[in-house]
Amino acid sequence: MPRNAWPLTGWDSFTVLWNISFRGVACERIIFSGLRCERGDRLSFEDTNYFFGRAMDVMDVGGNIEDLLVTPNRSVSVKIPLEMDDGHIRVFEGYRVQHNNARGPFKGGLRFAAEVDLDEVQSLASLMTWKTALTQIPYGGAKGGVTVDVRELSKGELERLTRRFVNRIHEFIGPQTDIPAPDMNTNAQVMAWIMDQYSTLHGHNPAVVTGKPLDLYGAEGREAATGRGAVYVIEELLRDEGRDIKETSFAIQGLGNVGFFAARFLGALGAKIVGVSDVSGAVYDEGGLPVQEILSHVSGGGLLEGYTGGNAISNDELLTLPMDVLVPAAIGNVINESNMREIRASYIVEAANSPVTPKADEHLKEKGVIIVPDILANAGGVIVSYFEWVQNLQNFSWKEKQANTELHAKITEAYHEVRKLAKRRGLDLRTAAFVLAIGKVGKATVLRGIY
Amino acid sequence: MEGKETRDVGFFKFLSEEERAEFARVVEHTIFEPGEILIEEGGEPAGLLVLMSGQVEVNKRVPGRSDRLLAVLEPANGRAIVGERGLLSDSEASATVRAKGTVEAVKVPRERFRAMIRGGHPVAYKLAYHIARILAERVARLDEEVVEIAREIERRGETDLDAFRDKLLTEWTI
Repeated sequence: MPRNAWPLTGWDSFTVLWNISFRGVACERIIFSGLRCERGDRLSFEDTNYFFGRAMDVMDVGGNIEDLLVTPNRSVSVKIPLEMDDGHIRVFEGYRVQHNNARGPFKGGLRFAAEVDLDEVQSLASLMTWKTALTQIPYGGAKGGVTVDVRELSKGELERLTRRFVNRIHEFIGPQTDIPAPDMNTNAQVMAWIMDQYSTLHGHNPAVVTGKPLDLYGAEGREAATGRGAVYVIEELLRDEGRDIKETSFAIQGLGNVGFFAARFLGALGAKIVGVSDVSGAVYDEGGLPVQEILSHVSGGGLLEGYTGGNAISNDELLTLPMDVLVPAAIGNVINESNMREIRASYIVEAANSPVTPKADEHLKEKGVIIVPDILANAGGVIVSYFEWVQNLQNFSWKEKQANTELHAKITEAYHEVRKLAKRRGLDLRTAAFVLAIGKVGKATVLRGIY
Repeated sequence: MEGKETRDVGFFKFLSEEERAEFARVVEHTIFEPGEILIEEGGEPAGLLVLMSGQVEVNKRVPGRSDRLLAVLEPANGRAIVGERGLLSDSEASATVRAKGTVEAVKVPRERFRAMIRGGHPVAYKLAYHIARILAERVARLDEEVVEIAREIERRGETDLDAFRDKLLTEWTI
C-alpha cells in the first residue's frame, strides 16, 4: 500500500518507506530516486511561541515563568562526518533539542531535511512538550534533525549517517532520557538503525526509539494513529456541535500518512468528502467524492494527478472550497495571510503541524471559525508511540484493537478537557489547549522545584 | 486680615463674596520664617492653615529611624492646606509641618471655627463640608495605596514559583 503522496512530511515519508520495506520494494525507489521530497514553509520558534505567549497572557503568569517554560533545557549541536560512497568526505550538521522534561523523558521525532536548523528544531521540540502534556502521556518534548537532502544519499550513506548521528548523541538519549521517533524523511528502517546502533553502545534496548518496524519491536496501530486520532477528535467535535457526520462536508489537504488514513476513516463513517489533494493536484465534487476509489488509486504509489473522477482544481482552491470542515494534513503555514480571507470552512482540524499561521489564526478566530489545534488534532501519533514504548518496556505486545481503544480514550479525554476549559473561560480551542498543557507542565515544574 | 486678601486666596473660592467677607473677620494672616514649625506632630490641633505662598515640608516620625518626608506642599501645586484634620477632630497632629522658606498663610483658628459651628453659621458648615470632601478624596486614595501595599507585602518573600503554583492551584485549577 505505498502511497506516493508528495510532499513527504512527518509521517508521510515514514509510511511510504514502512510499507515499502514490508513489501520488499526498494526504499531507494521513493526516497532516493530523485522524486521531490519537499517540505512546508519553515516553522519558526517565534510562531510557536506566539500561541504559547497568547496562552501565557491569558493566564497572566510573570515573564520569569514564561522564560522558564519557553527555553529549551538543552540544545545539542553536532557535526557528523560521513564518507560518501565515492570516497569523499562530507560533514553534516545535526541537532537534538530537549525542550522540557518536567513530566517525563524527552520525546520527539528526528527529521532529515535540507532546511533543518536549530530554530526550527527548537520550535518543534516545544510543540512536543505541549502535545505530550495535553494528552497526558508521561513525556517531555524534544525534536532532532540532520541538515541533509536525503535525495543525495544512497541507502548505505543514509545508514552510515544515521549510525554516526547516534554515536554523536547517544549520551543524551535513552529509554528513560530521550526517545526519538520518525519524522520528515525518516522511517521505520531509520529507527531500526538507531535502535541497533544504540544497543551496540549500551546493550539491547528497543525502548530507546519508537516507530520501529513491526518485525523489530514496532507497535500495531502506529502507522494509522495520527489520522485515526484526528478522526476521533472530529467525531467528538461534530457531536458537540450537534452535527451529523453524514451531513457534514470535508476537504482533506494532503494524502500522505495522516491525510490518507483520515480520509479512509472519515469515508468509513459516511462523511461527505468533497475535496482531496496531494502535491500533484486536487479534485472536488460538491456531491461527495468516492473516497475509497481515490485511496485505492493513490495507494499503489500513484499520484492523484492520474485520477479521472471529480473536478480537477488547484491545491490553493481546495483550501477555499465551500465546505464544513477543512483538514490540513500535509505541510505547515498553508493557511496564511494570503488566503485567510477566502477560507469558507466553519471548522479547521489541524492534522498537520502548524498549518495555520498566527495572523491567519487571529483572523479566523475573529470570524468565528473553530480551529482544533495541532497539539490536539495530530497527537495520535505520539500517543501510540507511547504505547510502543510501554510495550517495549514490558516486553509485551498489544493487538491493534487495544491500541485503538486506548488511543480513543486518551485523545477524546484531551479534546473534552480543552472544550470544557474553552467554554468555561471563553477561549478559543488553541489557547485552551495551550493553557491546559502549560498548567500540566507548570504543576510538574513547581512540584520538582527550581534550585 | 482684610477681606480683599481673603478673596484672593484660591482655596476660599467655593465661598461667596459675602461669606469670604465673613471669614475675613475670623482668620489670621501669618508669616512663618524658614525652618519654623507650623504644626508639631503630637501637638494640640491649632486650626486650618491655608498656604498663600512659599513651601512647607510634611514629616512623620518613624520610631528608630530618621523622619520620613511625606510631602512638600505649596499653593502652586494645588495642595494649599494643612491642619484640616485637626480643625474637625480632636486628634493630635499626625505629622510635623515646617516652612522650607518664608511661608505666608491664612489661619482659621480651631476655637473660632468651633464657635461658628456652635453658632450655626452656614459659612462654617460650608467650610466643614468642603474639607470633608477633600478628606473623602484623600481616604479613597489611601484605600488604593493600602491595597497596593498589602499586595506588595504578600508578594514579599513569595518566589516566582510560589506565585505560579498559587495561580495554577487557584485561578487555573481545571
